[in-house]
Amino acid sequence: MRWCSQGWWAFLITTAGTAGAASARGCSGNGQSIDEKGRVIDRASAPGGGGTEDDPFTVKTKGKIAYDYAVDQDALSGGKWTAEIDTGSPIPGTETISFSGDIDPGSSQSGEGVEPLEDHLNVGGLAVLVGKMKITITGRASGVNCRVVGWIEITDSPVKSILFIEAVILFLFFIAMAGVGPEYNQGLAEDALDEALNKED
Amino acid sequence: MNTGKRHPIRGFFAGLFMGLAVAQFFVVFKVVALSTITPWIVVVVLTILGVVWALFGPTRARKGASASA
Repeated sequence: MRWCSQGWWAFLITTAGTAGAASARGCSGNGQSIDEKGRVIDRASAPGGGGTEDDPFTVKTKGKIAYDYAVDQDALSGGKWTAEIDTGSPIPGTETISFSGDIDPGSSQSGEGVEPLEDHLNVGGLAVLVGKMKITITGRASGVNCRVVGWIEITDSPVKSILFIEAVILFLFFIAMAGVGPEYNQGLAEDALDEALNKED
Repeated sequence: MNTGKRHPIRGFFAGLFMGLAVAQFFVVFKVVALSTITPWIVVVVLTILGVVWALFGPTRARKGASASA
């Protein structure tokens, strides 16, 4: 994954910034989401319309983003970017899933391009994330700050996502813990769990 | 009188796993958004239900229990 490429940084600005016009500070951008067949499926601007919780900026894991962006003060070249996906968790320390990286030293104050998403949103043929989520992107370089907050919706086949596979595994754990598995395995599973979790009465 | 052995810890984990699984199914099938409290409410509710079921649900006969009794 080219996390620190100029294109990825621009993608982050345009996708996240689209989420909320009021929350784009220090930079701006426009983005078009393009599907596998080259059709434009969504548009957004930061600041501008779209990208709200009710109208998230839709992207496809195998699609592309056509973008243009501008940073208000100066280029963020050589700085750091951070992307935080809000998990909605009330548990301290688990409120966000964060990614960060370096911004390409050759990054300019403004630019445009097309960024394929497959390299960023797919691992081993599975979608990294699917669904609607709030994302906050921050870019910092010597004295220059850019912060955008917005909602995106990543679409793909649900069953081809890592979250789905994980959910199936958790469901199998549930079956094992609940002792409702096949009868021939029930006694053994219960005995093993009893031994491991003993002390409960 | 029901004298079966209860397993609240196992019930806790069963409910937790079920809650996490259901919450993730909800997210991938777009029933709820990831960045909201709703998936976590599902997790908490099903975890509590797991414990409650383990403590107060009906006991079931274990395989071979009658043979060894």
